[in-house]
Amino acid sequence: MGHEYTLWVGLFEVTILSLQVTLTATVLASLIGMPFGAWLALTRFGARRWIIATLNALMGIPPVVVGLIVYVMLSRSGPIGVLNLLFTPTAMVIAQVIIILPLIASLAHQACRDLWAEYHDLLISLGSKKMQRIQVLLWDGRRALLTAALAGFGRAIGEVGAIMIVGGNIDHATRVLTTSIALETSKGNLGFALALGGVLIVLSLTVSFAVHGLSRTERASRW
Amino acid sequence: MVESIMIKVEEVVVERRGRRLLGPATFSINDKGITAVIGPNGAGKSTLLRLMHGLERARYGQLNLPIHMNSQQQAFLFQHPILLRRSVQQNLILPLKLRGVPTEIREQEVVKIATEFGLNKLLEQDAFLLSGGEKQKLTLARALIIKPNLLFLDEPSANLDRPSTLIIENAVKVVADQGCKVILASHSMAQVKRLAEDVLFISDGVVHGPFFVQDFLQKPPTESAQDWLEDI
Repeated sequence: MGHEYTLWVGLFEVTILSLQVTLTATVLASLIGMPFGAWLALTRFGARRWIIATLNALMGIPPVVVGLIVYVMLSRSGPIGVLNLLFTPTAMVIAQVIIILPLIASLAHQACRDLWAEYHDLLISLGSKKMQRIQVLLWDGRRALLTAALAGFGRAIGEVGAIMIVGGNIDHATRVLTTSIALETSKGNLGFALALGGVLIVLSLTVSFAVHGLSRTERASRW
Repeated sequence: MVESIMIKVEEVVVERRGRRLLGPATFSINDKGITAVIGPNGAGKSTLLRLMHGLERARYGQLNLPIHMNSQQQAFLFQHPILLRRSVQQNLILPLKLRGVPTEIREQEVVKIATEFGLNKLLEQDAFLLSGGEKQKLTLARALIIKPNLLFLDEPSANLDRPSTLIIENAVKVVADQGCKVILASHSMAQVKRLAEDVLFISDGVVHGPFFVQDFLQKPPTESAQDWLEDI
């Protein structure tokens, strides 16, 4: 009974921490990536194509490499080591933001680019300023942007390499679902690892359904 | 009657990717009434309107508009209605919102113009669900909600049936009577006769005129104008 209780508490703890870290990272990456994507869609400058190509390339950046770089930055001898963030949930959030930012920015850029092609003449004709144009694109493209955010969430919640490196998989501190799965598998507890995997999938689906339900995606006529 | 000539286009050339779309164009038109821009397909009518509105840049030349017709005082009605993916109400509100008009005034103005155009019962509806005529009425209402001093109409009734066309034309006449300068690109000489006082004829990017409508019809100024009139 005592063991089962501890198991459930532990499961609850890692599930909540997984959600906290991933949702925080998704919100932060969306707040940065979406306006940037919209800005990129309606701004013409020399390096634009290079930035877009770089963003697209970074969508597939290996999380382990991101983890390593964040580790080096946050380690005591690193440039921001004084902040003492290594092996904390904040470090995990930083790593996840770096991993999913290119994905969200790139998808946001694509959504806003199509919308900008449609709205270009109208918004210029109405005398809008650049910030106003970005606001209009973000609002009217919100459903596609929501999908971008969910794609980011999906990539982040299933991520293990980077958060293992920068979080350290410390019990009651930085252990999340994915690192727990890795740990239990290495210990040979395949049944428990599989159960954790099930929880992870249910969690991911629940967030996706909740967001779609709340935002009424696919219900608003042709958009 | 002597009217002041206010809108001047001097030696303007528009090019895109090395191809000349318009010009060199030189003409002056009054700052009141309705001026029609006519000519064959692809002659440069839309380009001229877009240039005057600031949607195209001139490669050379000068465009002089009076101060009361600056970009904030202009509106443009596109041939294919461009609607935001929002409700009718939100489409109408946008120009006022962009200009920083306070919320309560915005709402009053929206109700007022929606009523004028018979859109008041459709305010909550998604704009994309409107019929073709309703869409064009909405875009005209949205253009007029800012009370422009210069209104460009790029073949506003090209895809509309006759009743919808007449509604649009009546609204245009009303705003022109209220002092708004209207520049209308049109294919239809019948529409030009119903609405316009003078015409600019464009052929292969070359602008001729302005001419009074009756003068243009009785004595076409160029061979291309004569051919065009015979063809339509």
